[in-house]
Amino acid sequence: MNDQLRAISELDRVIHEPGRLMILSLLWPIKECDFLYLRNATEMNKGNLSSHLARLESAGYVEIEKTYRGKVPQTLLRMTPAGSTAYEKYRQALKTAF
Amino acid sequence: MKAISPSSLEWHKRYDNVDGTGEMFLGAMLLGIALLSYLQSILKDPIWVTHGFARLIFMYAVLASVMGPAFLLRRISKRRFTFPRTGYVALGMGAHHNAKGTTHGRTRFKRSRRIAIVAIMGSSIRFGVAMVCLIGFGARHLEAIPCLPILCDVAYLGMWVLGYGFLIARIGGPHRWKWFLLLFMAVGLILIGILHTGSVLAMSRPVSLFVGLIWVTSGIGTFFSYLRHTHPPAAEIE
Repeated sequence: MNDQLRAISELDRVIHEPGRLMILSLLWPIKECDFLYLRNATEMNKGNLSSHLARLESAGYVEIEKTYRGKVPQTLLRMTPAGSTAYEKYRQALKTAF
Repeated sequence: MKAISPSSLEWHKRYDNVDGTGEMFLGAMLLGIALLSYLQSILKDPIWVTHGFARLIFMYAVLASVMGPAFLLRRISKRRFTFPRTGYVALGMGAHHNAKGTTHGRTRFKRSRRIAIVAIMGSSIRFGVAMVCLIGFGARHLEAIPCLPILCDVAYLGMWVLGYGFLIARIGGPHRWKWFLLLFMAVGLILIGILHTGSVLAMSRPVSLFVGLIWVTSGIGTFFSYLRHTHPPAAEIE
């Protein structure tokens, strides 16, 4: 197997899913954001977004913090250093592959 | 679902001005500069207003008196209207600044950023030196080249129109009326240029005031359009 094919076969499958890739791409350049911002940016429905976030959280790529803004519940999201490293590796792998 | 494109990754930058507060803040900054300039031209008697170290304190005090409230209003507006409607985002140092084990990507990112900063600084210095040389040359050879001050005025006024045009194209959002505002701004600046007979420095006062008012108007228009088209979602478990 050549290097390009190997890079494709070794792509991180957690990140490779388009929905999760969108989430990580949006979280990558910022410090933190809330659930509403991600929902507006990605135009995903709540269920989809929640399930993708849960998957990313279980992989250790995203940190989720439940808090309140006044009396309204707010979900804060930020990318972890592990998520950032994995995202960078994914980008490098894509560049190697193509 | 939106497709991923490079412009999607710039989403957060445009989002910062989705409510028009960015334009309002820039407009307030220009109004502050105009106020300072007018005060300095009016208050010539106390010499400290226009000369020496005290001038700097006066300058910062005037600018802070305008930009401080503008900054506070922007923060309040974001918390009160923008974050509950379309979400909260904290810009600044993102996760990409602490990526470990992939110095390859980081280095390239930082190098490209360094190159961009050096290029911008180099261009600004060159532009500044060219303007100073042009003004100096114009002052010495005013009789020989009578059209030189006009060229300086055109370059100065054109810079504002291009600046606002760039702002609209970059972070203006889907507001077509802003292009009419740009046209209005261009016409207004041409009128100021025709009616004003003094130097570029003297002309900068009405120009700052006019451009500042245009930007504030543009920001207010964007803000009301944002309020009309967005509504806070009902609170539920996320």
